[in-house]
Amino acid sequence: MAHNDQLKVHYKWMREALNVAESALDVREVPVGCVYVYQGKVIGRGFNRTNITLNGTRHSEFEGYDEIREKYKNFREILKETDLYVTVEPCIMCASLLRQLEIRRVFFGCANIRFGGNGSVLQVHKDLSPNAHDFNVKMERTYPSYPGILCQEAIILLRKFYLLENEKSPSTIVKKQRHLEMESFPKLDYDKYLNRDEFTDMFGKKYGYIYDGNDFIEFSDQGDIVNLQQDTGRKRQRIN
Amino acid sequence: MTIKSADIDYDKYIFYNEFQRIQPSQSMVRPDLEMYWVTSIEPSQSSLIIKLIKQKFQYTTGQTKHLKRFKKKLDVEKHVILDVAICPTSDIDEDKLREILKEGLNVQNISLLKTEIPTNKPFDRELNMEWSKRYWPLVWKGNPMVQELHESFKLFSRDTTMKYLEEISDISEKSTKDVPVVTMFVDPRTDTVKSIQEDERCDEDPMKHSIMCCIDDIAKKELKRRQLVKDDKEINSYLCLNYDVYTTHEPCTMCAMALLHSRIGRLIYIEESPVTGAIGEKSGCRYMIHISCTLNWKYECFRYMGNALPKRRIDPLVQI
Ligand SMILES: [Zn+2]
Repeated sequence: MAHNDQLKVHYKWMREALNVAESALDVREVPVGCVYVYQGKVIGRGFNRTNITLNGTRHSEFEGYDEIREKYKNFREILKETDLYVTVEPCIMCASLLRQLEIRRVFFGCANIRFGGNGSVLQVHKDLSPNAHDFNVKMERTYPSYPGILCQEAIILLRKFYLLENEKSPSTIVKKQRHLEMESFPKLDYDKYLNRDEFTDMFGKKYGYIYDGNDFIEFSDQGDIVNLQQDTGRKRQRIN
Repeated sequence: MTIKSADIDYDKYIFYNEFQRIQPSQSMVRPDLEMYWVTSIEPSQSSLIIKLIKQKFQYTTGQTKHLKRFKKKLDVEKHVILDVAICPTSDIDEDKLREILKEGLNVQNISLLKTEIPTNKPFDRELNMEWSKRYWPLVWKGNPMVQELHESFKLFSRDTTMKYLEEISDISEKSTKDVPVVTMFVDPRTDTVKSIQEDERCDEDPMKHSIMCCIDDIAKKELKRRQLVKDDKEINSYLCLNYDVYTTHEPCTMCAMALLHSRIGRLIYIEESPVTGAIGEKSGCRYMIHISCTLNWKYECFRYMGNALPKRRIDPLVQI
């Protein structure tokens, strides 16, 4: 498949994950959602259900995994050929779950600065224990993780949730926002998550400057990248 | 309670020769930096800013105990200027803060910059000086590691710990499961067992590690209870807040992080998992998960090093 067609596919599934995430708002759960895609079909989906279940481990990835293992007897084989699209970077716990399940690839929207396990805090998706050699054992295979697909949309959804919750809560302290911020977004440091080759192999050689500039990937409604290169000689810039 | 120094090994962090507190060797300690808003003022404005901080940023006093609020510097004309640490940049956006400062200091021009500040304390006086020079002036009140060890020691009961470790070790010894791992959650305030679970992994679900089973069990029991008493007003969703967790084998990354999400207080394990473990300083990928997200939550960990309990070895490749 050409890069363009591939991208349309990733765009489509991330939209689907965002739809799942949005339904969490109705039940006052943090809107993080995911879809698991196997051979061009969604085989599992879920959103975060930590409040309803009183269980801080019921993240969307676990919800989707439970659906898959209940539906397919050979789920272990299936998962090895399955891609996950999740609106927020998997936390360290879920990153380890996905590693143990030997997922094929992960695509995520925005970074999980506090708990991220695909690069923000730890790189659970690709670390190997230096002790494995001493015991002559081979660890589960690593998986690649691609950030930034519909990143801003994922953040806006989270902001919507906190705004709604703030309106419902009586306390008003300085640190709480009162309007939906749509203009400023924290930049993604791509090199925390993947190297430049991994990025250009996935998104196309001509988009290397997005990686270099830590720009957001901008999509048309058809799922084509529409970023314009602003100046070729631009140095990497970091905000914060 | 008096602390007998023979009961604590300060170099290896061992209590009663048998319980090693898992924490980084001192030489490894690095600053956990957080971005703060810093404003520059004239010395004459210092009482105004102190008042303003008291009014609007009182909540930061807990997290800034180890910091000095003010940092003296000289401007180009050798005038003394004071830099003031206000609050983490993630708490408030720039425009809003400017407004607050303009109003509080009664001036039009506010200088505002972002500065990285250590959220943890260094262990010795020299490092304290180094961090103070490099990042932000820090208060020195003696070695915080000694203080931390003493705090931890006061809350550590050898008898209670051994009682629970013997119980799970017993169950593990008699277990016929493929992976004979046993975990117990205890509420230390009431000294009651909240859940005991064995590893339940099977073909239908290979991820039922014993810790995940305990968290699930506690949540389900509480849901049931709330339905029975029709009590849905309860707000606390951290059911395992500050619980003690006893487990026979050092947990994997998933389970160690599940404990962090559940906000437990302490983890005590018997056997190390050298390849898959996520707690020990030299285990697995060296994650030390219990202190990996310290801005949000951390828990204490101990490893039992004595010989009084039988140990069941498990294939090193198995995720516990
Ligand atoms: Zn585990």
